[in-house]
Amino acid sequence: MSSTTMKLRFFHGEAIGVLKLFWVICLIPLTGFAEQKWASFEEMMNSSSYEKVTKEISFETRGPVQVSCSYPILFGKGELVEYVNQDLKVKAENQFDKFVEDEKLSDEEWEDECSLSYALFPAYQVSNLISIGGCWSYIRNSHSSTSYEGKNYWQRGDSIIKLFLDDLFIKGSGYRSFMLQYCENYFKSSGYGYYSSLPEFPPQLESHDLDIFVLTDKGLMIIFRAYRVGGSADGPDTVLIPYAELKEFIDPLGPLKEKL
Amino acid sequence: MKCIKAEEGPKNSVIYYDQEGNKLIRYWKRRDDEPVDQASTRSWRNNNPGNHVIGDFARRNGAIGHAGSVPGTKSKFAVYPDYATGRKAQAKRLKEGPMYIDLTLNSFVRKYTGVKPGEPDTQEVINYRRAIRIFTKFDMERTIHSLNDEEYEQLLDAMKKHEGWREGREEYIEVKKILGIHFDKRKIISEFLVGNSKARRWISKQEAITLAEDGKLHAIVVHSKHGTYLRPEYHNTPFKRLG
Repeated sequence: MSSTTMKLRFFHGEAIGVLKLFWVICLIPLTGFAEQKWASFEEMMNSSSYEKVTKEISFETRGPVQVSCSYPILFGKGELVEYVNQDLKVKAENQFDKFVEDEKLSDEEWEDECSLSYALFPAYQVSNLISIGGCWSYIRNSHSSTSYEGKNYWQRGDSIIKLFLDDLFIKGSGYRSFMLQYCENYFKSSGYGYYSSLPEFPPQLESHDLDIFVLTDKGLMIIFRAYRVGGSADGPDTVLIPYAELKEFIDPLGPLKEKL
Repeated sequence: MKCIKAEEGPKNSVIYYDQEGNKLIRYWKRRDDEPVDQASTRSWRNNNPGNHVIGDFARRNGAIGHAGSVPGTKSKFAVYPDYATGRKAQAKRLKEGPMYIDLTLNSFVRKYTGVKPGEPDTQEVINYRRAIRIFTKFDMERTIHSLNDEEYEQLLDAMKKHEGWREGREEYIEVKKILGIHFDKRKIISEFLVGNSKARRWISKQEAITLAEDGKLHAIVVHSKHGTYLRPEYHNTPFKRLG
């Protein structure tokens, strides 16, 4: 393993004190995360078994601010891998710059630590499909907020398609109703989160709750937003729907055709 | 038990210590084979109904340690010594300073969940508002400042539920002290007098080693090529002086 650290110092008037910029490029031998059998979204998020770029900065405005972003560098050749690597880099670094700019210009009152981070991490990779998970965290006034995302890419011929849930299934086959019912049954039967702690007001799942997902080797993983089915501190709340359960809905010409 | 320190334990547990070094462990799951879905929540394990992150505010309001990471970050959640302290800290969080006090219930939720001014409501904001509205039945255009004490408690209750609150298994472990030793004819320690100011008893060396390995005796287990033995914890009285 090798790593490179670059530190810069510069000044931004009175409002912002010393700025420290850390670029950390961790070159961790990639064992091929496509073969990794992640047990959970959390495990994907915390894994260190892939190469990633981490960018961190800390500075002072009304108090100490820390901003970070990280994104994976996928190994392999071909258009899809190159496209995804570039897309993740642009997305993460733009977000990093936006975080920094927003904080510098913000006149919002806050105290204690302020930390903003955006992390992208690999979930699944085969020759024509790549799935990436994402996590945004904001900490301010001693409270944290987290949101998640899934980015899924499919190469069909010469074109690369960013996938939405509807791209995976046969239109009009009722897959959303089935998946909502599947998730609800899972949460109810296991007494998950608010389903047991707030039985008087169980969450009413809606179609858009299915929109954040990643593909894994075992199935389609739905990631629920914080505070949807459980508190934020114990998340992410996910349901893994095995491909076998989705067989009748999968588009035989779509990205999941290999799973049939 | 008056806890003075807390730290993260194995498997998402939290370990609290009192002045005597006795431990209270709050487990994530009741049993190892219990599904994750039925596990206790971080807020309960940390006595932290507001899910505060450790920092100046939490320390100033009684936090005694930290355990559990904010997803995707290195930041940790604060641990308060008991529920009352955690609740008090949360009550102060919303009323202390100018951050939230004059905001309406509708708008404070945006700030609380990290939405910047001018940006649209996130789904998290919508869900948080819904929970507060359902549990308190308050007019969401009221300010936090306008709530009387009873109403304010209702707001805190609603937030506690929405942050997630599920109790789990906890275990109190009294950690005994070594108060005396017996030597055998070869001048090797053969028995230990263990206990506290209320009760004490003599136990064999092997029994003492087992207790120490289980974290129930203030002693360090040493494995050497000559066998396994105990030595005092750092800064404690040498065994020889107890003989």
